[in-house]
Amino acid sequence: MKHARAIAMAIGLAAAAFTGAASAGPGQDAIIAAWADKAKAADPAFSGFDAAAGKAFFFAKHTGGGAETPSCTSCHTDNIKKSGQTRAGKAIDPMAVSVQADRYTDLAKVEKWIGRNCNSVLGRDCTAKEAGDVISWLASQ
Amino acid sequence: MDRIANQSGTSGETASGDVRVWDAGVRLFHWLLVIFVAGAALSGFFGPKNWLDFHLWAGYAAAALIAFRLVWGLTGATHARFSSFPPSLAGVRAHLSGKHAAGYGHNPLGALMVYALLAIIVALALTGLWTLGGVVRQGPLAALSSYASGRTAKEIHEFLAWGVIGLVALHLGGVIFESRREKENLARAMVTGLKRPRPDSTPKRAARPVVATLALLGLAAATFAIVSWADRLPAPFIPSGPVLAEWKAECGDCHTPHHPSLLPAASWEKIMATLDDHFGEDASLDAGAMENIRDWLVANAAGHYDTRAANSFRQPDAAEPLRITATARWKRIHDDVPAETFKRKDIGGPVNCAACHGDAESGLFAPQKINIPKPPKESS
Repeated sequence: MKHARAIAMAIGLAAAAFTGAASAGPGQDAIIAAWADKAKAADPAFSGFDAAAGKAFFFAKHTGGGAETPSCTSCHTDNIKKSGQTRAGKAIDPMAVSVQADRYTDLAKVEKWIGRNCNSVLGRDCTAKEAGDVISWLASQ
Repeated sequence: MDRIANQSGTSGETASGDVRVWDAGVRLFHWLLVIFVAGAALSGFFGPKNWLDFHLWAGYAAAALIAFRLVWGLTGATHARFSSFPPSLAGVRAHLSGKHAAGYGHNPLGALMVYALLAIIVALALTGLWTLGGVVRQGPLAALSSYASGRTAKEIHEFLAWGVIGLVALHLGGVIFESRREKENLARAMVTGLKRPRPDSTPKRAARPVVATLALLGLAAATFAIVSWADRLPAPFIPSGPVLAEWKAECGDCHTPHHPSLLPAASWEKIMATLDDHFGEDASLDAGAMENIRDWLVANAAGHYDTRAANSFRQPDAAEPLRITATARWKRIHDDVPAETFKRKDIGGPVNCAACHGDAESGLFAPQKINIPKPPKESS
């Protein structure tokens, strides 16, 4: 009985993980592919993005950036399915593709914001791997 | 016959022996004016800024009443007519020395009060309209006035507002004094229109309501024509028309896009040249977008406009020339907003003009568009 529940739960989790991973549409896939090209160019040993690492990077407290923006969550909040807020008071659409379908479909927009926000949070450019990890994770949510 | 005579406003006797002195036009005018002047004064002195429309309508209504009274002064019944109470210094002297016999109508001192009140309300309406045009940049004088002249008009308007309060106080004192002296309740007479019989040599005049109506319709048509003409006058010194979509999109990504008229060109040049460290944030743009937006900001900077906002922020703060909210003027304009309000998460700080100014993007900042939202209900 106990086992049956555990198995059912595991199946449910696996199904949720699968559908979650599948939620990145063709637009998002193209963006991730573009970042994979950058990552390969920077490091020939690059072998794919790691969504778990991207999630950890998103929630991590960083140093080197602005005092008020030590983390992605400073503005995006720690719930990526809810709206965030800029330091100047403007609402930011949720980051998860499951609630904001047009996320990560415009390469210029993604490049603009990765460029700006890495500088604000880390005080440096992100590597293509770091950025790709984060985008891969967010696009799967 | 008596009833008909009474209704037409001539001084006829009623069944009780009292005499109809004030016709319906005079009485309605008097008490409606009390309401509209009180409404204008209360909203002007005590009302929040976004009650401006209430103040304006009270003022327009008072001005319309004055127009009616000026016409009725030439077409009303006996004691409504200006000719029955001409301004007269000799009359005032006789009245003060007690030699003037009280007739039915205004005594010589009361007559002066009528003319003073009519004149001051006309002056209030004109200076109010000028303030609306020059400072708020609305109404028929918007294109015909400058901000500087509007500021002067505003000071005169405020001075006259105190003047009308002083005149009303004197008027009430006079009514109380004369009521005791004549042993007749003059305030009630302005309600009923009736006074006790007494000797009176004023020549009887019948009211001419049709003539009055035609004259007022003519005045209304003329006012409409003038206002329509004034509304169509070009006013290039007031921002209007389309804003740059790129400005709205890029600046609006992080904050209320601040209208170019809120800073001088030099400040905009500096801001756009230092976007990589924009108030502590990296707000870099690609060169093309940066140049488009910069050129539009510089071409529409504070020096090009004559609005309240442009005049307020044209001279930036010496220490922080890029920060609109650092200016003494910005702080003074917002000193009635508690600091806690700006700290609220749903407001998003002083930089977020649009949190309370519904028309922030236009650069107009109309008082009617101010709405400080209620704090949201606490939720987890």
